[in-house]
Amino acid sequence: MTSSTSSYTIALAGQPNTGKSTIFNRLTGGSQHVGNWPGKTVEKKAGSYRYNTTRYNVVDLPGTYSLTSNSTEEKIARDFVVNQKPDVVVAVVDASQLERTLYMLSEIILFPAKIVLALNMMDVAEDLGIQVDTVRLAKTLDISVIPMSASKNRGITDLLEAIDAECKNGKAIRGERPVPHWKSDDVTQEITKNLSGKLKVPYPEKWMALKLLEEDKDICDLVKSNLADGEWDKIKKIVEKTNGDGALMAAEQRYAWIKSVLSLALTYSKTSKQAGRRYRFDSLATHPVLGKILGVMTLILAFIVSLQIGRPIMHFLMNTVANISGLLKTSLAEESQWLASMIGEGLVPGIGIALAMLSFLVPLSFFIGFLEDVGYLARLSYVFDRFMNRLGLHGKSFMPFLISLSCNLGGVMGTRVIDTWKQRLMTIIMTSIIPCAAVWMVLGLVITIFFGGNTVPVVLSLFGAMIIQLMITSMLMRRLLPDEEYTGLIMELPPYHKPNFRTILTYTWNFTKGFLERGLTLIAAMSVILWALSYYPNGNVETSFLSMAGHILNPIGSLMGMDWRLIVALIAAAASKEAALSAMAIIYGVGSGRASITGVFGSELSFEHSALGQALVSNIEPATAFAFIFAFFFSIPCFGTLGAIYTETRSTKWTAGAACYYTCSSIFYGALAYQVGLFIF
Amino acid sequence: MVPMDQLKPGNTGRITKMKGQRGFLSRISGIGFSVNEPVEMLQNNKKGPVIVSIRSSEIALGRKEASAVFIELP
Repeated sequence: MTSSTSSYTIALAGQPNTGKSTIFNRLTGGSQHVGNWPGKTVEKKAGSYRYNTTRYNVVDLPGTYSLTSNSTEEKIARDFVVNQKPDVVVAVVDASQLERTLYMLSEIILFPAKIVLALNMMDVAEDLGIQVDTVRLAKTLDISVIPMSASKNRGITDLLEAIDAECKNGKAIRGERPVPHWKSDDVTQEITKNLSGKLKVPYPEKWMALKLLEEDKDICDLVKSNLADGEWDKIKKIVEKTNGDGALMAAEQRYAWIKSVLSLALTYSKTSKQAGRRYRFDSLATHPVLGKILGVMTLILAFIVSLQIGRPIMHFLMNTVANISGLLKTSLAEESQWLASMIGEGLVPGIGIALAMLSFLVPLSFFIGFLEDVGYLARLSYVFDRFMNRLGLHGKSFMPFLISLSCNLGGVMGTRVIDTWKQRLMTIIMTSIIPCAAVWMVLGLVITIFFGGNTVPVVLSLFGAMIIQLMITSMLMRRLLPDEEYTGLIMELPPYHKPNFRTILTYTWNFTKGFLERGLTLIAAMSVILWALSYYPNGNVETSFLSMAGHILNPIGSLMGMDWRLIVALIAAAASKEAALSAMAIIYGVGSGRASITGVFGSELSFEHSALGQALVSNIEPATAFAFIFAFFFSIPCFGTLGAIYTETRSTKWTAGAACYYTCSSIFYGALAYQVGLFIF
Repeated sequence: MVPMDQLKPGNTGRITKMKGQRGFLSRISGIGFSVNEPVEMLQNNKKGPVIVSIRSSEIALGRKEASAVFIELP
């Protein structure tokens, strides 16, 4: 195993809502790395701590309910335990819901791994009148059991000690682990008998027998390829006899084991509030009508408060950026004109926008973390489930969609609460279709200028197209993604509890760090590229590469009835949606004659909206304006959002794919709207 | 034996059968459902997902998911 005795690897396993992250945060403190599982798009959290003089590396396995190969997360968790052979697996369970949360242990205990059971949320169990005899439980299971309340910082030292003792003195388990009280049914026994000694694979036989019974695809393939045909057929016949009930039989066995283990260690006091307890607040939070209103209002409130907190910081940043870029520009101008422009009008404003967005997104991520931590988000998903079903998604995708109405970047970030990868990826990509506040700002102006009296039908047609676009995208994504993961709503409504600010702040900090590390780099790079395109070859937007690109793209533009000027505005929208206005202002000659489009971020917009309106009306036909509205509405996600898509998926393929897809759909809707516009106007 | 989505709030019964694909069965098992286990309907609005209580936890299930779980009422 580990070559040096001075460091050990600990894996943290457990179901969602068992307080696993809180334990992870307590153990590792600030020393966390958030990365990716190799070759996967699932987030990997790792960290380390020292106990006495020994160093422990902790890997936080994805929170899953079982270890079947149904989802990427489950596969990752079990492969880590089997292949990486951590020195100790800490199984985290919720002491107040032992019967259910021990299911994960019923899988792990079959592996030849050293296990420490963290009996978390003991305080909640005590409040409910549930008494756990931990000494007895430890004896029955033959593993260390540590009662704790991680959110109250109780039992952490005991856990550290138990891990240390297990690593250094615990007896190694080789081959099959004897599991006390486990009763295999006849079918499982028959499968085990047929496997016995015939396979050279790292999995224990009893565990494999149960997986075969469940028809776990990976294990079936593995066993099939390792057995002679006749042997495999025998097993297949045994499984077929169950008539597809194998998975249920395996689950029954595990729960039966849990019951017999707990029967010796668990007592309910007479005053136990356990049976049928419901929260009074839930009749409101999960109400089909009131629950929806409450949910939307809560999120809008979170959005407004975030904006209020963010605004002064944003304002300060904008001013500072303007000052810095102005200063840099004048001081660098003596050295070299292009460098001064690149830094003053490209790089610094680009970073400025990113930081300004962050000043809004940090408080927002805090509120999302808060809502999740206290248990409210699950209720919100519940009330909007039926609504989201129509888009091929389930309730958990609602919150990101609603946040996207203010800012797509926040929406993409909000997908973190979705627990299955496929659902999350679909939401990440689809949430960019929702028009953000900046889109409405630009469209508000353009629609009023051109279609003043007909604002309502124009906006309604945009919404109609948006719903069609959401449905098409959902359909395409379901085609593209592997179908093995189950995506319907099966969700725990965790008990409400007091917010744990440590957990919430860690959530916020991890988001901020991720954004600064990846999003910021991307936004800065893109800003410089856009700057270069609008500056070169001779420091004038109107004769720049950007306008040349606009000219080259004329054939595409003509599909939408646009000339190069509007195309440039659409390209500029990629930097940030508001930039489309600045670009139009400069190109249509009402701006202050800047060398670069990105430069306008560094200072107040210096043009009159009415002047822009007049310039636009005298230059653009109504059909073209109609086309522009649609092309802009569906345009490529801004750099910030693309940055977030990259941060969240950590996949260049999906990020570039989304950019291409939305560029194409923008042209498609633009062209379609142009044809419709020609017909109407 | 009735599909679980037909249960009224307050109804309690035992699970007799669950039907569906491997992925569904394994997910619903992992979250606490198994044959012979008692389950209580907490909220059922005729449309949309339901909320049930099983193994002292509250679980929300989509309507389709709930209809794949069969219950024997006492």
